[in-house]
Amino acid sequence: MNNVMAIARRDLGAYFRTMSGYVIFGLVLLVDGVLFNSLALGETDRRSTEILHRFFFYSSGITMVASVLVSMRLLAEEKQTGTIVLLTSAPVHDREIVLGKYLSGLAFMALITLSTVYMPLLVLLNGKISWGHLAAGYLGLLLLGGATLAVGTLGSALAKTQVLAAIISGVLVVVLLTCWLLTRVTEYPLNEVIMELSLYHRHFPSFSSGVIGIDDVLYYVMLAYFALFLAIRVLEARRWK
Amino acid sequence: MKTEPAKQSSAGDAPAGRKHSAFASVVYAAGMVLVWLGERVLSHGTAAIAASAGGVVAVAFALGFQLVPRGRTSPEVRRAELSLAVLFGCGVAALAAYFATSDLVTVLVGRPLKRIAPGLNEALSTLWPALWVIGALPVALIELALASMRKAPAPDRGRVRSAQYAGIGSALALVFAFSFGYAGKILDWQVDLSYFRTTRAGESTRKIVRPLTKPLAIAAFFPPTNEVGAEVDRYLSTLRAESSLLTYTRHDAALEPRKAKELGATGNGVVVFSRGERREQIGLPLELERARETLRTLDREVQKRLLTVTRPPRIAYFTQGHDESRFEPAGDTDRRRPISGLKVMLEEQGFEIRNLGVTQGLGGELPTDAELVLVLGPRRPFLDGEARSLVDYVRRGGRLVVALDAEADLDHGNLTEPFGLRYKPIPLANDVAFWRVSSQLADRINVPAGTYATHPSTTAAAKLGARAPAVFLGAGVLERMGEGENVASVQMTVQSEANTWPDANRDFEPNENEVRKAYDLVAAVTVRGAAPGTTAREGRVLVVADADMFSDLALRNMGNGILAVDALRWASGDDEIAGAVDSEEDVALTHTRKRDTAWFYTTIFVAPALVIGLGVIVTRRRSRSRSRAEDEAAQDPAAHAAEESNKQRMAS
Repeated sequence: MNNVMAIARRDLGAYFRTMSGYVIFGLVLLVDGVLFNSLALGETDRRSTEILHRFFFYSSGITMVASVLVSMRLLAEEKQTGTIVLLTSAPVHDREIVLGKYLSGLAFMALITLSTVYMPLLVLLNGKISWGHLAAGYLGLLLLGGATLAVGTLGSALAKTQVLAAIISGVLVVVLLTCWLLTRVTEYPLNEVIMELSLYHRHFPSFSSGVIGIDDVLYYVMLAYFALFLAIRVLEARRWK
Repeated sequence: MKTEPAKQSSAGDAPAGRKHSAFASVVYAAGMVLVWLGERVLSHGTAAIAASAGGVVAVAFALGFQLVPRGRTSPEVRRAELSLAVLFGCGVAALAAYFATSDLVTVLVGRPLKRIAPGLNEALSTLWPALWVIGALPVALIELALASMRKAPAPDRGRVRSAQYAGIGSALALVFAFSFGYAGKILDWQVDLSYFRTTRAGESTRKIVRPLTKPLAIAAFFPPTNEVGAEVDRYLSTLRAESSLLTYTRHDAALEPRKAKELGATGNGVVVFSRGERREQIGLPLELERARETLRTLDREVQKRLLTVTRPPRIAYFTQGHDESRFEPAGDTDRRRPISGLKVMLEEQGFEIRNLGVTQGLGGELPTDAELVLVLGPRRPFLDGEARSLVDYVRRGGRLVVALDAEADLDHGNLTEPFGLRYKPIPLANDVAFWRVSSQLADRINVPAGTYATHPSTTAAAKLGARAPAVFLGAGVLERMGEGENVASVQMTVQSEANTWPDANRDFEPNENEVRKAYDLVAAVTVRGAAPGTTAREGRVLVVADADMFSDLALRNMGNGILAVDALRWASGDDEIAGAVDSEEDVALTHTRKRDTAWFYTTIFVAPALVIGLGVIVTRRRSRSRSRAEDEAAQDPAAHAAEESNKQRMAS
C-alpha cells in the first residue's frame, strides 16, 4: 500500500508542477460553465430539478472526455519517454504501479469534478435545491469518471504513445457508450446483457435524477475493477509476450 | 576421474520435432463463430442447423486434434497443447450446457429442460457463458505467448503458464464482475434523494392553530406501519403542540370502520378536519412514491382545510363593467393576462368569489357580506358614484384592493386620491434588473421589487428579499399625495430597484428627462371610519401599481406568490396569520438580466481564471526557486553538493 500511495502522490504532484494540469482544470471549468449557462440554465424559467438534471447530463460528457485525456499519460507517457524500465525494475509490483497511477488520475479528476459544484449552488441564490439530488449527481459523476479513467488506464497500458493511448481509450469508451444500440438487433437474453454494459444510457440517468441504485453503483465499480485488472495483466504481459 | 556431462536446460536442447501450430485454435475459434451464426444470426432453418452442427464438429475436431499426439515434439510444446486442449474442453462443456438449455432438448425429448428440471436449466444457463469465457480468453493469450516464441528452439514453459494464468484470471475476473452486477440488479435497491421532504408546519399554519378558541379534531386514517401515515404523523404532531384545543388521533379504517364512517372517511389515506358539523378532508395515496406530490405541499393543503373549518365563509367581490382583468381569456383575441391563479389563492384562504357590478350595488350600497372587494386592472374609468361607493365601503371598515394597469392610460384619480395617493399610467422600466419573458427589449418593463418595508403585508416577502423578488409587469408610477379623507396611515410597502425609470415615451430606453430612482409599487392604507354606520374596525386599502402582478404568468414567480398571499391577507384582515407557508415544491428559477450577467461572468470567467492564475503563480515560484538553486550551485558547488546530500539523507 505504501508503494501505491507513493506512486500516487508523486504522479498527483506532477499534475500541479507544470501548467498542463492547471490548463486542463481551467478548460474543464470553462466548458462546463459555458454549457451550464447556455443549456442547463437556458433562457426560459426552469425548475431546479430540471437545471440539475441538465447540468449533470452535460457534465457527464465533459467528465468522460477529461478522464480519457488524463488517463492517456498514466502509463503511455512512461513508455514514450523510456522511464517505464525504471518503474518496472523498481521493487514494486505491477499492480502497485497501475493502482498508484490510477489513484493519482482519480484524485485529479475528483478535484476537477467537485470544483464545479459552485455552478449548481448558484441555483440556491434564487431557488431551491435538493442536497440529496446534488449529492447523487456528483456521486454519479465520480463513478462515471472513475470507470472511464480505469478504461483509459487500460488503453494507456496497451499503447506505446500517449496519442495512441487516447485513441484506444476513446474507442473503448465510445464502444461502451454506444453498445446499447445493438439491443435493437439482438434478442433476449443477449440484448439485456448488452444494455447492462452501456456506460451512460442505462446507468447514469438515475444519478442525474437524484436516485442512487445499487446496480448502477456496482456497474461502475465492477467496470473500473475489470479494466484495472486487465491493465495489470497487460503490464505483466511484457514478461511472456 | 569421470565427470558427468552437464545437464542442458530444456530451452537449450536441440529442437525436437514439430513446432506448435495455431491451426487447432483457429479451427476452434471458427467453430465457435459458426455456432454463434447458427444460433443467433440465422436462428432457424436448414442453414442455421448446418452452421450450428458444423461449428460443434469444428470445436470437437479442434479438441481431438490437440489431444492426439502428432509426431515428435518437445515436451514444452506438448504441455502447451495439452493446456489448450483442457481449455477447448471448457469450450465444449460450454456448448453442451448451452445446447442443453436450448430448443434441441425439446426436439429430442419433447419438452424443454426448464420444464423437466428448472433448477438445472437455471444453473446451466448461468454456467455456459462463464465456461465459454474461461475457454476462450486464455486460448487467445496462450497463442499470443507461443507466437512471440515462434523462433525459439522450444517455448518457455513459464511464459506459457503466465499467459494461461493471465487469461484464466481475466476470465474469472469478468465472471466475478458480471456476477456482482447481476446481484445488484436482482437486489434492485434504490434510494431517491431527489425527494423534497414532507413539509413542516409553517409559521402561517401555526398562527391559525394557536389562537383557537373552540376544539378542533384531526383524525388520520392509515394502516399501522404505513410510510405515508408516518409522514403525516410527523407533520400533525408538531401542529398539535401549538394548541391544547387541537386533538390529533390516528386510526386504521379497516379496524375501525365505524369511526371512519362517522367522520365520512371512505377508507385509509384520508385526513379529516372536523369542528362540530363542519368537516374537511385531505386524500393521500398509501404508497410513498405516489403521495410525494401531496406531501410536498401538505402545509398548504392543511392550511386550506383549517381555514375552511375554523372560519365562517367569506365573500370576495371582483368589480365588473370596466374591462377588468378576467379569470380566463375572453377569446382567442384576448391578449390580457388571466388571473385564475388569484381566484384559486383566494378560495384557498376560504373566500367565495362573486362579481360586483352595478346590479350588485356598485355605485350605491355595496353588499353587506363583502369581506373583500378587488378592483383588478380596470381599463375604463369608474364613475364618480361608483368610486364613492367603494370609498364609503372602506370607511365602514371594508377592505379594498385596487390594482391598476399602466397600459390603460388612466390615472383613476377618483379611486386613489381619496386615500392620499396619485397614480400615473407611465410604465416603469429597468435596463439592468428585469425579468426576461420574451427576450425582447420590451422585457425591460418587467421590473423586480428592490426593497420591502416592514409591514404585515410583506412579512414573508421581506424575509426572502432579493433571493426571490416579486416582479411587476408594466407597473405605473404610484406616489403619496398629501392627506386623504380620514386616512389614518399610508405606508409604501414595496419599492423598485434604485435604477428604475418611468418610460414616458415608451421606447424602453432611458432618456435624459426620465429620472432613475427607486419607485413605489405598493401602498398599504388604513382608514378611520367616518361615514354613517361606522364600525370600530379600520378600513384597509391596498393599492398596487400593476394589476399583472396577480396574473397567472407573474404568480409562477415564487416572489409574486408570496407577496400576493401576504398582501391579500393583510387587506382582508388575516394579517395575524401572515407568514410563510412551508412548501417543498420545486419552483422555477426566474431569469433577470442582472442575475444572468452575474452567473455568466462567475462561471465562465472568474473560476477558470482563478485556476489558471493559481497555476501561473505556483509554476513561476517553482521555476524561480529552481533557478536560485542553480545559481547557488554555480557559485559554490561543494557547499551546494553537501546541502543536496543532506536533503537526500533526510528524505530517505
